[in-house]
Amino acid sequence: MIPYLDDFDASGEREPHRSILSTQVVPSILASLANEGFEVLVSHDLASKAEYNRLHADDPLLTRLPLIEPQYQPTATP
Amino acid sequence: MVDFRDRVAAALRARISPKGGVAIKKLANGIGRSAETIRLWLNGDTAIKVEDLAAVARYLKDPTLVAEIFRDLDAATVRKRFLWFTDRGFCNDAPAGHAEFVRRHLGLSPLLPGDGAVYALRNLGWVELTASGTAARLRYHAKGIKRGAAEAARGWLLDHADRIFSLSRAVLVGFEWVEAAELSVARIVAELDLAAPPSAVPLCRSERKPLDLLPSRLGEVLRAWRHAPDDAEAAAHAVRLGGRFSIFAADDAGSVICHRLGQIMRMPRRECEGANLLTWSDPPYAAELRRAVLEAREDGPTHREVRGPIFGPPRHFNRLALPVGDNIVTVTELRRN
Repeated sequence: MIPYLDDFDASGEREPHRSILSTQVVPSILASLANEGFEVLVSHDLASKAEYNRLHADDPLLTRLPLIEPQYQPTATP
Repeated sequence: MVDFRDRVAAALRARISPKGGVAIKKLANGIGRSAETIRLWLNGDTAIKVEDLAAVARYLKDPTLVAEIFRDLDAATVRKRFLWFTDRGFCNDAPAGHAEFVRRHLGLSPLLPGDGAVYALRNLGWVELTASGTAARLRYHAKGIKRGAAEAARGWLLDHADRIFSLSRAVLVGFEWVEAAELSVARIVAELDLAAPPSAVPLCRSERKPLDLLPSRLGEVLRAWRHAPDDAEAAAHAVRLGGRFSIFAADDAGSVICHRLGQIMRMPRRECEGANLLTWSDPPYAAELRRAVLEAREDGPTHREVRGPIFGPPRHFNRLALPVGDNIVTVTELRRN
């Protein structure tokens, strides 16, 4: 698991998306979450994610988003 | 102009008897010089050599001796200076360090885990510089330095060219640092121009392909190599790819040296031949080629399709990499499209 700050890579994005993402969207989200006491960590190891899900299978706070549904897609509108 | 002979004399007098605790003769024996030479230094009649000064400091076990003599080169003048060259073309001092500046700029808590400096290199397209005395070290990302940042860094380097005697750089390619030291200002300026192309210029992309998808002429070279590895070069000449036949040496530590560059390769020959790839002035391409050479060393024959700017101009070619003896050879065939 590594900090999201170290993992986020917008270097391949076109402008103005790169600037908006890296100077506005990501810092705002990280700052908001930090204010709530959260750290955002990233793993690219799906096995660890599967293990995490297994260990927390009974955790009612663990919400699994049905990512296939349109409202959870990045282009979705509220 | 400071006369250092007076300073040396004063510093020595403070340490040698009768004022200090060390006798002239003892010091002379200890550093392998005559007592007369020591007296000449004490009187300020002769300039001390650097190696003698170091020997005296070592013998006296007194590191403050050198600092006392060169007191005008104190911490204030040799302290590190942290600079950011930003997308808007500004040169910003970051007195509390590069990462702190970025966090403040983005409104991120200092407690948030992660490296703010690397975030700025990767995502903001900034160029980082750490200056310390006559040494400077640059860091930037291989893809997408902002033009304003490159221009600002370029201007700073040219302004300080006569004061920088040791210049190094580290380029972030993916998650890997490509480092080189003892570079010239002109060389770094050229690199920055390459690294901050106009937005229309595509990035260098490399894709590993199956060997059975090799273009026919490279396929001939592979067949010859399979028959006898040493035949690969003759086979490349036979299919008119001899001018694109290059030789590299790689070691277990991951160093890759270019022994020979194909005769018709449009790359800066004087810079490339005989050099470690990581010192080439096109770090993204050098890192790609290094990976390909190490891959061939590990896996045997490999085929890659490469597309993008190579030392500036756009190129599109297939590359076959083969182990031959202790070396790795590469043969490339340009794509017509």
